[in-house]
Amino acid sequence: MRRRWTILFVIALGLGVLGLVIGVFVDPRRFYFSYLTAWLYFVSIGMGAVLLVMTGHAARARWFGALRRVAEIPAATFPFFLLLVLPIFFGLDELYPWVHPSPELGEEALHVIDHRKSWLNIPFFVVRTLVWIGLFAIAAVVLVRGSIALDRAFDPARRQRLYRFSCGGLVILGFVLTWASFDWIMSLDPTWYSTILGVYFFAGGFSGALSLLAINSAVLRRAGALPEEGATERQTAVGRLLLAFVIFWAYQGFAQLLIIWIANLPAEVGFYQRRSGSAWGWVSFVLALAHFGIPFLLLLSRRLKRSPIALAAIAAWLLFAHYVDIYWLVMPNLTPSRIAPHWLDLAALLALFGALGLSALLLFRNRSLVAQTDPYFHQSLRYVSWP
Amino acid sequence: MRSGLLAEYEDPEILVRAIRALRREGIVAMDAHMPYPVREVLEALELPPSRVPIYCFLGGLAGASYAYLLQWWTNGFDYALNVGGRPLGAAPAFIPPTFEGTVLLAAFGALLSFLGFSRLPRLWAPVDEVPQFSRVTSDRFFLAVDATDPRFDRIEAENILLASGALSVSAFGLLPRKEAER
Repeated sequence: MRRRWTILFVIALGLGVLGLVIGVFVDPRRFYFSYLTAWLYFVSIGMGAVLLVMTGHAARARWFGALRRVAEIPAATFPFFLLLVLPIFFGLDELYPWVHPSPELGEEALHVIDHRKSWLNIPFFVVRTLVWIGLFAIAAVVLVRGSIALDRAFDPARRQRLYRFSCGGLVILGFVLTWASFDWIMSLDPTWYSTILGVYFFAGGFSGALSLLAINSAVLRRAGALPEEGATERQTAVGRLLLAFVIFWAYQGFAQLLIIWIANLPAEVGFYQRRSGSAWGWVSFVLALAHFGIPFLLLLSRRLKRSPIALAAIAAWLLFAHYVDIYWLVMPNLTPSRIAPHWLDLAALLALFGALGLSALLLFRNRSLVAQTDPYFHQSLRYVSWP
Repeated sequence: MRSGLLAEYEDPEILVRAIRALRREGIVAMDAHMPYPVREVLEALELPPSRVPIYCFLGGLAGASYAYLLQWWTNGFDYALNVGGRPLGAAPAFIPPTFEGTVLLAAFGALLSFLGFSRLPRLWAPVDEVPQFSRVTSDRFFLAVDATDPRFDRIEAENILLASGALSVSAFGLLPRKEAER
């Protein structure tokens, strides 16, 4: 099975990199936008995974014991984003209007951009981006290394340290994620601002991380790598969390829409004007249905949450919806009046999927997929998701 | 349950064995009374899935439509009011009350259907006639077998209950005539 996945990831990486190399010469502007979209997609899920593991520690979640390592897999690949971000630094000029503001933006926008110059300039942006990723990467390394050290010999004091690290880290990383979303997404639009964007970005990423957890645990359970005992109960719990965060995402998305729509201020409302026209309006509609309407109704069903295949299918659908979400956030800045899917989008997605998949396989080579020495692991087997 | 037999147990595990023994004889109409919920007992009873979620969902649906349509009608037609130049049927502004309406009627649907299905509130039930039953809230587990079960036979059921390890078996309610005569 491992071999099959390695081949899949290598093919994805090969095709993706080939596409990206061709794309950077054919259409560099599109290349950067496609790459940023795919990169934000994986970064948001990675951040969600780190926060999920930390939440598990901070809540001392016993049921999570047998799933913690599965959740740690996407979190562990986070340091690779320090490498994967590099192409974006070469394309800042193409991506962000504040680098070289064009006079077409109008006096108002130019004034706003000038006002934000001390924050939005290339050196500071690059340093901030590296700090944001670096902090998440440090958290990921501490958590995964600590968890693997617990495998060798269980030590309550070490777990207590992980608990404390998580409680404090969640607060810091909550701010980091918000600032990162302001830098990476909000500044794509020269004048737009929305203070809730960070929470919205988190909600999407966290539901992505939970979806990935549902899929990975279904795949690994099928392969016999995870304990069968209580697996359905734990899966139901993941399904319930998924339902909660689908609702949470819709809540944040709607709160942002309502406040901006009802205030109707020129600096903010352009964001939704672009996304409600004849072209992007359809994407907004599909996004609301795909990321909330459909999964919400499906996840209400207890039977679907208890079936491994059904839950994995809903989770896969949500991962797709999350890509539409990121696409909807980024792409209207490139083509405001039309939806223009491009093969580079797929290439960027494949390249990052392959790279991160391979690094996950590499990091967890010869590692146990369950933390068997942990008392929480044994409590997790007896966990009852009632009713 | 209007009438039947009430068996008293010290331990939920014995209760589970009694349920299985009765089911093997084809007697299925029974109910367990316990100081706290025991998963094994609920599983052994093989209760049908609860219908409360359906009523909760229908209540939510009704609440959403009622709240939305009320605003749509009052704001858009009955007393059309232009607020800040926004359209009269301003969907985003209607959503928060719609959400509240959904939650309110979904909660009512869940609560009222739960009360209805459990026939609550009820101050007295035939099982309360049995003196031992007062210990159900502290340390005893009870199994009530319904006399209306087509396979119910008082002597046979009593034998099974006693053989399964019941501390006591008592009749409650008005047993059907053919049973009472025995």
